[in-house]
Amino acid sequence: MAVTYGEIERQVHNLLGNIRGSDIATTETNYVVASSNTNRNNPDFSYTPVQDAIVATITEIVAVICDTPQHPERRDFLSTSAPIPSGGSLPQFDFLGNKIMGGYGVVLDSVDEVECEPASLDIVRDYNLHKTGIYAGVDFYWFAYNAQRILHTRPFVVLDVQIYEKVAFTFGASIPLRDSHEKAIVNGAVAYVGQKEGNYSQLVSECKKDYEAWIGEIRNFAKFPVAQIDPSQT
Amino acid sequence: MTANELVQYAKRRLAALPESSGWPLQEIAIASCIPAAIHEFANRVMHDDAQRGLLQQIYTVVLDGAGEGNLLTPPGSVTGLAGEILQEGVYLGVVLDGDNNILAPLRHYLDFLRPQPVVYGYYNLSDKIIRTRAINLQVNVPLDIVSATSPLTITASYAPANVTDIPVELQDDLVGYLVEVVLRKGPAVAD
Repeated sequence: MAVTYGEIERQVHNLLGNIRGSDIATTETNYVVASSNTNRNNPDFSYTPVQDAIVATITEIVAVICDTPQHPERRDFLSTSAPIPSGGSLPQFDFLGNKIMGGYGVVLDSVDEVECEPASLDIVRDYNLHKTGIYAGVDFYWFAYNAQRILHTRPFVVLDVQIYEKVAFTFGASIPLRDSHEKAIVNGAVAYVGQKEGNYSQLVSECKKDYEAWIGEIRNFAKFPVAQIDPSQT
Repeated sequence: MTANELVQYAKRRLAALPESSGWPLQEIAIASCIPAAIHEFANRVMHDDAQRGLLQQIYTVVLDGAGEGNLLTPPGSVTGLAGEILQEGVYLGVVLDGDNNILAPLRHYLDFLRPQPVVYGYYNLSDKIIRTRAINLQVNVPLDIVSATSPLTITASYAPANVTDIPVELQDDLVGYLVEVVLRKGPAVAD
């Protein structure tokens, strides 16, 4: 989150050989400043396509995190849905109207915030059909997904969701991911934008290999000690 | 004790039984047994001289012009709910007429119609209806029957509709009854 878009961008340009400079001092100076016609010299890769590749790579990594159940970094994008009655449609937006990305998280009663347990559709439906008769006075916290709807045994529930929408490239702004993703974003952006030119195939291949390995680490985060399972997130 | 607490007590007791690890997943099955468990339990209490009083309440039954009253419509004095009364619990309780005379039960309608000693008033139950005969009036034929004075004050056993109406002293027994009823369903099957 401390890494800026600009720091990512200059590393991408460096790998693509775009930094202009006839000596080390000039190259160093041009490396750290925002891209312009005076400090980049490779017309195959102008600034905007590189910036687009960086933004697209960040979005892809965020999507993989949000799609990976129990990934601890899902909390970086955490929000909640608006209250949903039993039988209500699964949400597309959080309670503020932000777009949801990835799978749904824990299901909570909207009032007392007690976690609901997954149950079979049969059990949830039976309880709801007879909650004022056979099951009068007995409260359960259950839910079941049915197609694109959620059925549950509470008056209303809220779902933990992840929200993310693509953010425009801003040179000095921090990226929305943790700093550990810095190298992967560089590799991903190079692998993406570098496909344009055949003579970069070896660079693209190496970057792609590293990037896909990182994506694999995100998906299998539980195998790595740096990432812990958070039992409150499903 | 609430119904939720009753389910928890039963679930934990069931989970402690050997080879019953599936019960924690069967809360809905446990909950569905509560009405049956309460009825069986209330019947058992009704027949227990020591505990009967814990599940008795007073019903005030207004007699109509024919001297008959419906047992299922008046609310109970403890729970405030109608329809919980156990008919057999009337026989094991007390029926007073409007003048506080004790009415004696006549279980067969034919006995109700024929001559009986006049030192008692009488009542008979059939089809959720209580019929009465006034004290000190000779009955030779059915047309001689005169209703007891209304309203009747009936102390009778009942089966509570709500778990919260079970007296504290009986709660542990009810948990045991619920476990027993649940176990009759057979071994737990995990979802």
